[in-house]
Amino acid sequence: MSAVSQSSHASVQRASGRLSARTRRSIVRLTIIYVCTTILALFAALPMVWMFSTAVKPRAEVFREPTTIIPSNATWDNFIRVVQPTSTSGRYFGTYFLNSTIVSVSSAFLSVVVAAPAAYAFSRFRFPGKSPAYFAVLARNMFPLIVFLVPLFSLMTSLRLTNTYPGLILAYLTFTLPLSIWLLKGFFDAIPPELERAARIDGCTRFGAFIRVILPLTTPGLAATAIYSFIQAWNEFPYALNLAYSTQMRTLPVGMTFFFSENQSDWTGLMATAVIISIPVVIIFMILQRYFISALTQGAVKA
Amino acid sequence: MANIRAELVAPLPVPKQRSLAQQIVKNRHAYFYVGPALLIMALVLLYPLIYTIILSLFDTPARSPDYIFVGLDNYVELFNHQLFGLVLRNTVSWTIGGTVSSFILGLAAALLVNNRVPFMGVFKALLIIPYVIGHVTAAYLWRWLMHPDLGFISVFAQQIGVIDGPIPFLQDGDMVMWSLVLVNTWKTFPFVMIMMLAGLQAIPQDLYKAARVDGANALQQFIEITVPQLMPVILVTTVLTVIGNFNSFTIPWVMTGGGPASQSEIIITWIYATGIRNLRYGFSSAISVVLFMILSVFSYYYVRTLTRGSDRSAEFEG
Repeated sequence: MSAVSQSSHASVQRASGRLSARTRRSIVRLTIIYVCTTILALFAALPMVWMFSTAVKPRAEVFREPTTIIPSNATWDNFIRVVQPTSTSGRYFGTYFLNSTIVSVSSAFLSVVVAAPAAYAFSRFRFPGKSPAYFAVLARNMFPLIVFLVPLFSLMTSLRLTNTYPGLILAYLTFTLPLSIWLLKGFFDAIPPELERAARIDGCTRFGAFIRVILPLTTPGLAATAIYSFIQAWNEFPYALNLAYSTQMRTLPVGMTFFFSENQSDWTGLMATAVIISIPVVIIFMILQRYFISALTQGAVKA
Repeated sequence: MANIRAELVAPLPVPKQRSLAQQIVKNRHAYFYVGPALLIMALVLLYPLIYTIILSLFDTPARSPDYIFVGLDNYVELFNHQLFGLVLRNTVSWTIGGTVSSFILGLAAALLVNNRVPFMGVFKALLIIPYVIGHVTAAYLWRWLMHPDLGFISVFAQQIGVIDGPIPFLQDGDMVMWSLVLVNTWKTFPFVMIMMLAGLQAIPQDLYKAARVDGANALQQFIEITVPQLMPVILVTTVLTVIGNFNSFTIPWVMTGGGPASQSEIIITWIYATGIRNLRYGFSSAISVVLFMILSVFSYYYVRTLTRGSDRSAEFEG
């Protein structure tokens, strides 16, 4: 916090040619900041570097001593092998990728569409049953997905929805929907109710005011919520494993576990798959970082 | 007391009491908004919840379609189960260990990144990446990093001469739980960092200016201003991290599947192993019900922390 004033102070001092005690202290301070941050960043990023480094190594180099971080003969062969429809390990990659995309995009879209009016009602209206319903929304975030797995499986079986997109999307709404309601309520709370009153006076219906005035103002919030839901769905594993288990319906994370059990020591292929799966979420995140962070933090920091 | 006195001084106009039905009819537009969401939630949450509680009273022998009513037998078996103590201990190590370590790293990262010096934006983006990538990806990545013979950690430690043999991170019963906690810390600390950073940035800078005028040093500023101002965020983040760790399944399941010899079995993986793998639905549901009860305590605090926050914001508005 004081680093700014101190460093500007430092440059003035440096110009005069001598290092004062204060300048020296700010240099020490900056050094400590950068050294500590670098150590933490290495902890976060080195595993990713190792992932990429393994992915571009020829298969045999992994087993050769000494192991190095920088591959001696970098190659894209592993990537080609795991996505190529004609190779044994890449046969279903396209299918998995398509499944993951369809399911994640639909769950993100649906949860925003269903959650937005509900969140709006929780933010603006008083109605009997409001607090227990909102409590249920909040409490849902507490309970692990696994405990709902057996009953959901029996529900999906009786509805004939196992191994279908609607089945998996419906299952994903168990976690994206309550979270979206909570996130969106925060965004709606931030908009002054005077805006609707003005719209109503201008002749808008209650629903018209919501659609034409409030929703456009919440676009960043809607985007943040959709991104958050998308990433959650893209990375989800236990539901996909059990509710969409046929080869044709597997998502990427599930496909990855099958890849691993079928090719036990193919670490280069596995890491190439890991890189490919991570790329979409990392890119989306990098572009829309601001929205993502606002979605994560708005509930906690609002107060 | 206050009410009585108010009535004596000047009788307040009592708002007309409406019956519940009248209130519902008057506010029917609200149900049009929440209806679809509540219907879906009832279908995918309320129904499974009731189903789980009922199922916990039945025995479902594998490879047989029968459901045999056994009363509380599943619960009796659970509390006397030889793994019960171990699973609880592991769950506590996993939850508390992961929360404490990611809290320390996350807070440190937030305080560092919050300094207005060059390149912090790049560092921040780097530090968040572990949180964004998938659990399955993270689990396999760390399985590979922790491979005893070929993994980066073992090989690197041997090359610089810290140890002279392979490290059995996931194969050794005493080490496995802590290896999992390390992976979980890597995956979770960015979340704590994001929350703390948002909290830090919400602290009014005037407070620091005033403290500096009063001659407070950096440590005093941290203890007297940063910590108390950050407290609400610290509370919410801690509760969320505890719950998130308690409920996380994919990393332990993909990395060890509870092994070796159940040494890394936690409640969630145990529910999965008994229910989905061994098809003992009734017993698995009994564990789930016990888990519900433990989690209700957490959720009470969580919901209370959250709603207290919104109440306060209502006060400010008024």
